[in-house]
Amino acid sequence: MKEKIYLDNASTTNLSAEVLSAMMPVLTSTFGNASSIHSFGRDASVLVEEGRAKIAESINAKSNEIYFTSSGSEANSWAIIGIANANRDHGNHIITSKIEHPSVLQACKYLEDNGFEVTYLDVDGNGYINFAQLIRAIKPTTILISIMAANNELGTIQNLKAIAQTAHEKDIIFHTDAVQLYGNMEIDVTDLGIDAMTISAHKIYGPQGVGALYLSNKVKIEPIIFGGNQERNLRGGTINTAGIVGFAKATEIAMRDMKINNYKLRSLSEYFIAKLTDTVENIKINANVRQKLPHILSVSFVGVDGESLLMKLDMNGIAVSTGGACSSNSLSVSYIMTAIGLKNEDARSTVRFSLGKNNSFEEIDKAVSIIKKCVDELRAYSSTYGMKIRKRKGDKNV
Amino acid sequence: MYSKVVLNLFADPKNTGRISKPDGIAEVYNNDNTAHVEFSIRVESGIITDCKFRAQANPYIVAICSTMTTMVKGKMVAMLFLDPYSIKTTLGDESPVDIGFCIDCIRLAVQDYKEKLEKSNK
Repeated sequence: MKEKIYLDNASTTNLSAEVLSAMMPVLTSTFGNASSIHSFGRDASVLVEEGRAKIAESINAKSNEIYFTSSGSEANSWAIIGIANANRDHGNHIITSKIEHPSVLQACKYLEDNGFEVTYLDVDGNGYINFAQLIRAIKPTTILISIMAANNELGTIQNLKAIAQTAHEKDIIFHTDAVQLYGNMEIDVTDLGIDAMTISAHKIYGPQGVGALYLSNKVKIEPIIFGGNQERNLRGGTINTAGIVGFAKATEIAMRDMKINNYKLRSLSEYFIAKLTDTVENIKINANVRQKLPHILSVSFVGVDGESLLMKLDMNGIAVSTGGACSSNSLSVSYIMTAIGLKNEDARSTVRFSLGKNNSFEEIDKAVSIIKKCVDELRAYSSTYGMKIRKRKGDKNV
Repeated sequence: MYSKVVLNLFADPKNTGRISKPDGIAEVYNNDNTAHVEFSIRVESGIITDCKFRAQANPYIVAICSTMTTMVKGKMVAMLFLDPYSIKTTLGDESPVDIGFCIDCIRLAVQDYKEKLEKSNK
């Protein structure tokens, strides 16, 4: 079988062997329900609280400010809807951006349908929000600002401290979706002034099916999942002990190896960009800025449909993503690409490569040569490629 | 998700490229400008003897175009009828993607052929 190359680490990462080793005894021996009062339950509960403490420490929060969820999407939805509902007596206006994860945008849409008002901020060509627009958008009724820490398709990192300061000047709660940033960069919620933050295990080589919401003790929230007294009566549902143990272990490893991983990912990314730019002509690296996650690369290939390239690469053993247009077999366009100003036809030409700590320089070499082959094959029968190149050269007679 | 038929056609699409000095040619974007196709045809004695396509589109549309080029060959231009439902059925894929623009493109290529013929007859 062909050796496969995984370049979709922003979708999910592989479960690390160290994490699996930490989880195995929990899955097999310490299987009690962490809410049970017998010894099986108490043993599980100890592990959960140790995990909570470890995750809290990683972001300079208190243990009782970490709430476990089933995913980043749940934590995002809960933060938006739960905070909005709990603080409704102060106002009904929420500010977010046009490039948030669907779990934020759809929660906002739900609130709009239920009497809230939402402002969706524009972003510039690199995915940064416009501060002047943010300040103008604030109203006396604004109760929550939710801006993602790092974008899942572009990797662009927002200025969280400045957004938090802007929010706090007007007594507004600041939530950030840090699913992509967490574990890749240090986040000190106290220093940055973050009131609520979403994180997830499977983006940092932990298990799928467990996320967390950091919620400052100063912030009021209402539950959206009922039926149990778990998570201080705020999130019902049996606690995923093995998942939490895995999450905590993944956090410990991410914090321990952060510097070396960052160095490796930056080197791999720079090598990939240089090699790709040299090998494949007529491409554009989107949001090619310094203040971003190095491992997320958004690349537009002139004259090529991104989903076709994804499928062709998959047939050749390389896994990538077309980002927001995650429902395949459609002709939809990533709203994030539209938000940064790409025309539909260019947005459709975009593919996201997201590197991981397990990728090697040899894999990048191999991947680039396969990308070149696939792009050439698609351009050979592209109906727009020649047309677009002529347009670019500005010579109608070519 | 794509059906096996679609993936096989996408992996090895038939009749790609453009016919040299075609009798009829047309290109069309879909409504949202998220896909673009071009069909070129060769017509002899009123019968389509060759049809090629080029596309910047997703695998489904590539498979549709490939299928359509095969379907129209041997058809009389005067009798050409393309039914989106039967084309989709051929692929065994229940994709909601609208393929109307691909059919329009072939019709426009035939129209181009007819206009050229009319001009040359004048």
